[in-house]
Amino acid sequence: MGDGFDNDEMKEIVQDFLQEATEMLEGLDNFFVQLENNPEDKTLLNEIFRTAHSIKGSAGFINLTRIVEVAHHAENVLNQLRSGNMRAEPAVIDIILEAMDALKVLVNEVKSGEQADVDIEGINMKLDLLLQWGEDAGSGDGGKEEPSGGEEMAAAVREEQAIDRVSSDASSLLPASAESPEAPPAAPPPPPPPPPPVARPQPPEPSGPQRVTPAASREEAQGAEAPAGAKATEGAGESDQTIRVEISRLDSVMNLVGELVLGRNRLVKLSGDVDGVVDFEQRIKEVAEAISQLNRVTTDLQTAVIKTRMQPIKKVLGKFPRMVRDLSRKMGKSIRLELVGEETELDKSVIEEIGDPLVHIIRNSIDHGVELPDDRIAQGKDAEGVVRISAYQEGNSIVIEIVDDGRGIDVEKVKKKAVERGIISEDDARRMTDGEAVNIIFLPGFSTADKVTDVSGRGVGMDVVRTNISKINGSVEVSTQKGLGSTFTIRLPLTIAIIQALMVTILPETYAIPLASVVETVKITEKDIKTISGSEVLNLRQQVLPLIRLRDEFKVPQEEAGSTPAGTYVVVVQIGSKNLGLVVDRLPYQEEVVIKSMGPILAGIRGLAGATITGDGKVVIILDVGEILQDVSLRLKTSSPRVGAGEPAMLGNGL
Amino acid sequence: MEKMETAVVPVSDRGELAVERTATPGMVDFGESILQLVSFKLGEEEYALDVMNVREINRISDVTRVPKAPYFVEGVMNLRGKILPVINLRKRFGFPPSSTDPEEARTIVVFQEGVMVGLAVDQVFQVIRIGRDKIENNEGIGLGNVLDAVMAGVAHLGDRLVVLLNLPNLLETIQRDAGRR
Repeated sequence: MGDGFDNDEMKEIVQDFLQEATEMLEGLDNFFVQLENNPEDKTLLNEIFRTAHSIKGSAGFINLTRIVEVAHHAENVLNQLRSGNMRAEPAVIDIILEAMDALKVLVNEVKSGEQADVDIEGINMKLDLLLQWGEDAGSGDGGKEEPSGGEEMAAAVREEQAIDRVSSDASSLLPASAESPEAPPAAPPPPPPPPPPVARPQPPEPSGPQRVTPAASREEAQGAEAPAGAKATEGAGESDQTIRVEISRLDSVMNLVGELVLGRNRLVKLSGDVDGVVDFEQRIKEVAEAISQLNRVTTDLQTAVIKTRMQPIKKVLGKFPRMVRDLSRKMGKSIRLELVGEETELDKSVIEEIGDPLVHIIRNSIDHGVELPDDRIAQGKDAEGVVRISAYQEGNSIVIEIVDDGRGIDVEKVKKKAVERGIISEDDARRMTDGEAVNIIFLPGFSTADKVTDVSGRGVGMDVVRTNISKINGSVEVSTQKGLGSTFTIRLPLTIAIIQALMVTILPETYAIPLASVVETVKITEKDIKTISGSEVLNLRQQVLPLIRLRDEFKVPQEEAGSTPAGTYVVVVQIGSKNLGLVVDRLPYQEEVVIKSMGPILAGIRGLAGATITGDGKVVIILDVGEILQDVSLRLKTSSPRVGAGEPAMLGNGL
Repeated sequence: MEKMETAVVPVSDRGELAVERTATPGMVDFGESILQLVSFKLGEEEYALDVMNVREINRISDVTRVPKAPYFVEGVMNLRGKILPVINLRKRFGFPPSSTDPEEARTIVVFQEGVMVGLAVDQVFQVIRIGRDKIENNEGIGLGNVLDAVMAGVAHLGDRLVVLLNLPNLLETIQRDAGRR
């Protein structure tokens, strides 16, 4: 990364953007090639849309208007693709890729500081034309156009493209590469492939091989730039990562390691000369002392090592004051940003993932939350709105709250929109409490905005927020009061590798439940369990708590039939506002466990977060309470299958 | 490990082996025309993996069942602090349950492109050195879909037939089927 000029914030922000945008654009190339092969892949489309949206958002924030312009037009087309009004025909992808190439040149222009001459109008025109065709075809056939219609559209655009290319080749692309000779070879757009014949006959339902061919030829044209998409996804997680650590923290690790070595030496010595030991009791006492010292040192060492990975959340919050100012000015609003608890520390990996979600939430608060000054005065509020971000530690988690004093979220409107968009059924809407309904905004494809601005309102954003946060085992919730504002509450684990876990046993098997999601444990007897329409529930302090028996859920083999224990425990878990009781046999102990992956073969199993190795060397499976809750609530809501259809995308485990 | 016999070099291969050695003096390996295989048994049948793919061979102990895992996953094991998924090859190939002595059962730990997996087998038999020309290269001779896809060939050792497995294909098909749930 750049040299990180602390005194020159803007420069640092631009550097960050450049790196991010370059990576994202590279990723997009691969995504589009994948999309061409699977035009129906909704998860992929959502991912593409989010990425493009992020590029646009960040570019807008640092005033790179030319990038925003191209990205905005491209996004319009992507939106049509995502909503199914347009198909990802190769011709469509051609034009989008051309736009991406233009974006690369523009990003490079920022990097090199030399003005590159890119035909933005030309590209925008093509994108708009594409959109026009998409809309025409879409409205003509009522949403899903026939493939032949799409082909017609593609052919017409191709024709247009061929004409356009002549001018763009001559006027813009060549000067661009001539003016910036330092640009890396990948940056200038690849030589356009020869325009395909307009009247190329194609079957209405293109089959596999035909779909592959254009993609393959493009890969050739772009050389090594478009490798298999899977590699890009892998690579994204492991870009060259470094971290700055205060020397004092490293010193404390060093000291503790020294103590660790001393402890080991002591034990080695004690185990070495056993011959001629007279006082065995004394010896046992010495060994016990050495072990307790080792125990203390390893605990401290663990804390110290975790601390080297901790960074203040200031790193993320630092870019918001400027963003809030720019955004509020753009929209004629007056907003004050308050930051509380900037020194709160989070694990590096958490810091990296939390940036995007925060940007989306804050943007949303500014765009939809805080009212225009006149409206505020009319309601008796201060003309200046307040957005407050506060971070603090609560037990083993870090809480980040984003509070605004705007108009709040109109719950009825949310319900209405959600029903309109088929996210929930009308029955669901009626049954939902306000607290539940307002959280619909985290589902994919939801947006209440009537007009689309380049700040927010395309229905991306809130689902990205939830996806990104659950990626790091966190949760997000919103509460709102009409006219008074909204509060977004993000809960994040302190560190993601080591967690406190509650061990539970079911017949002969032991499982670990992350303590962060455990609310309480209750001892019950079989007759406390009641049923409501076939589902087992527990009446806990006048609240109905749905139950699942892990024994059935995990199909634990019943070896000794008659050995059902007299008592049963219910572990009450909570994610967000949802509660669930897990019925288990015993709660032997709590332990701090290190989460380990079970490898790619077992990674996809729903409800399992990984495994850990306990003190006695046994492998214990760790439950993913969030996934169990989601699966259970899906099962309970079988009456509304549409929620089910939306759910997998919300989890974001597709890519 | 202790039950494994010392390497058996089929008599007919000795001459060839010598020729190979003189051809590449100073080399430790046996050249490209000789394969070293670890053979193991599933029931009475003999299978083999290229020794280069095999990390280690362990007794099967303390396997933790993984709920909701594919049927052919025996569970996970603690391999010196790493979580090792154990695949039951018998179940994977659709064979009936084992009737051999459970004391003989072993896990062959294999490593391929960053994925480490234990393959549970009835018995590890021996290390075989065999000339490539003794291996019949028939990938798939109609032994059922699962096995056909992972066969690299059949080694002829006297009247013994040893099925040589293609590890990359084996792991790939396993991973594919595991992801399909």
